[in-house]
Amino acid sequence: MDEDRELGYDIPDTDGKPPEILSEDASPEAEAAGNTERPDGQEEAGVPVWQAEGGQNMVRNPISQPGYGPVPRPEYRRTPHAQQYGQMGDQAYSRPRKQSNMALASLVMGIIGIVTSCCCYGGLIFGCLGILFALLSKVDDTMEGYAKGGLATSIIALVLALLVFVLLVALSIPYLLIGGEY
Amino acid sequence: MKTSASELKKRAKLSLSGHYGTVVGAMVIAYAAILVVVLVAVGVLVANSFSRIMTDSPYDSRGFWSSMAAAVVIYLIALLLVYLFLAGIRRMLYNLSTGKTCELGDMLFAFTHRPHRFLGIYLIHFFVSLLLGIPYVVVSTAAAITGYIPIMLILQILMYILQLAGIIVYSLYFGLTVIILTENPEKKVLACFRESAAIMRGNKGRFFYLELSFIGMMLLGIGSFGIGYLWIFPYMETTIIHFYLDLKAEQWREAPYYQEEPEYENDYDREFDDAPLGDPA
Repeated sequence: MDEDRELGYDIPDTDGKPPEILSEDASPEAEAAGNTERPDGQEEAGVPVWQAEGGQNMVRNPISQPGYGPVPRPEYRRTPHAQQYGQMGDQAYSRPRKQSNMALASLVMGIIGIVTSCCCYGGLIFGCLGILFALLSKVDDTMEGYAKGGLATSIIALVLALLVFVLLVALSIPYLLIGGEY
Repeated sequence: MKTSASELKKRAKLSLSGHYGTVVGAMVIAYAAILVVVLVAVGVLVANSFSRIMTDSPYDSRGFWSSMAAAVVIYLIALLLVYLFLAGIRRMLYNLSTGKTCELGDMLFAFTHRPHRFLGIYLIHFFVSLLLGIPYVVVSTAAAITGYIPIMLILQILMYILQLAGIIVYSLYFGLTVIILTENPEKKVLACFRESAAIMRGNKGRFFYLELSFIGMMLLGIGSFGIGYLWIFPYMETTIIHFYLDLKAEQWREAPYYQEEPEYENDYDREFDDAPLGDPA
């Protein structure tokens, strides 16, 4: 658990006791007494999973997020394959986030897109890549700061590239009207 | 409750996080390989043309067709190679989706694990899409012969829509075939097709919606002149692999003969853990 804290996870301090019961079906008396065993009398060392009366296993997401809360996962612990896939899901959710690189790439692409928007292909290519990276970096309900900046700069780059394109077309119309001759 | 498309995408992003370098590197290698083979094909064509110009028979049609045939053959070989590389990349993504490690060497997975089965699936997909395109080609040819009269133009558009609809329906049934073979290369080609059709029963709408939700990203890939596909392809494939794993877990759960097994192993370990040291009991 200390290692998890070092990795930046929001883990409640329980003074060596197992984490609190998250199931809504758990009895309030047991919570008051600090009894954190599973209702069926079993306990599973190291895995904060409890089975509620309705048959749902509840687990606290190690990364505290407003939208996540307790994650019901009844299906993943029943069959070998499903259990493996469920454990995979837990690993994925508990993995330290490395999205900031992608968000940073989005910001860099957006800035390069603005700079190169005078030649409309540059703005188009880097703007599209910036938006793409910003979308790929969004794993939570909210977007990271870098990603927000990258999205904004990439949209600006695309708009600038569009304006440059329109300007070029508008400037070339008189030339086209006279048949390409000065 | 069925897993939503956004949840599957979130899982795909989490699986890929921190591994984009390896996956995109593998994509670059695959595209570089096809580029080299295509350049060789173009080189054969150009070299043959120059040799004909330099000799006394510049208008010899036999030489042109032979070089064209060689270029087409090299191009087809390149396509098959790329398909095998992409199957290997799919294996990398499958490993990531199931929480395993992925290495660049996984790119060669399809080369070392029954490549003929991967090629068999690819060729079946290829011939089905050719068959579905026949009405459009026939109507297009007829339109060209008749000088593109309005009725033929309308028919041409209708045939194109028909071809698209056919490809979509086909992919709704057999879209998971390659992933099934990637998961277990010991399965036979037709068994993969059967399993894909069985697993997609009742889930075609979800799959269609999932595929449709990638249109925005595909447009971004087109806007970036194809560069974005280096990231979009792994993301899409990982999402579809998560869709497959989710369906599989769901079908295990709903199996009528299923009974939950007690966890004997944990109880056994716990007995020994709880026993005091030095106690013979």
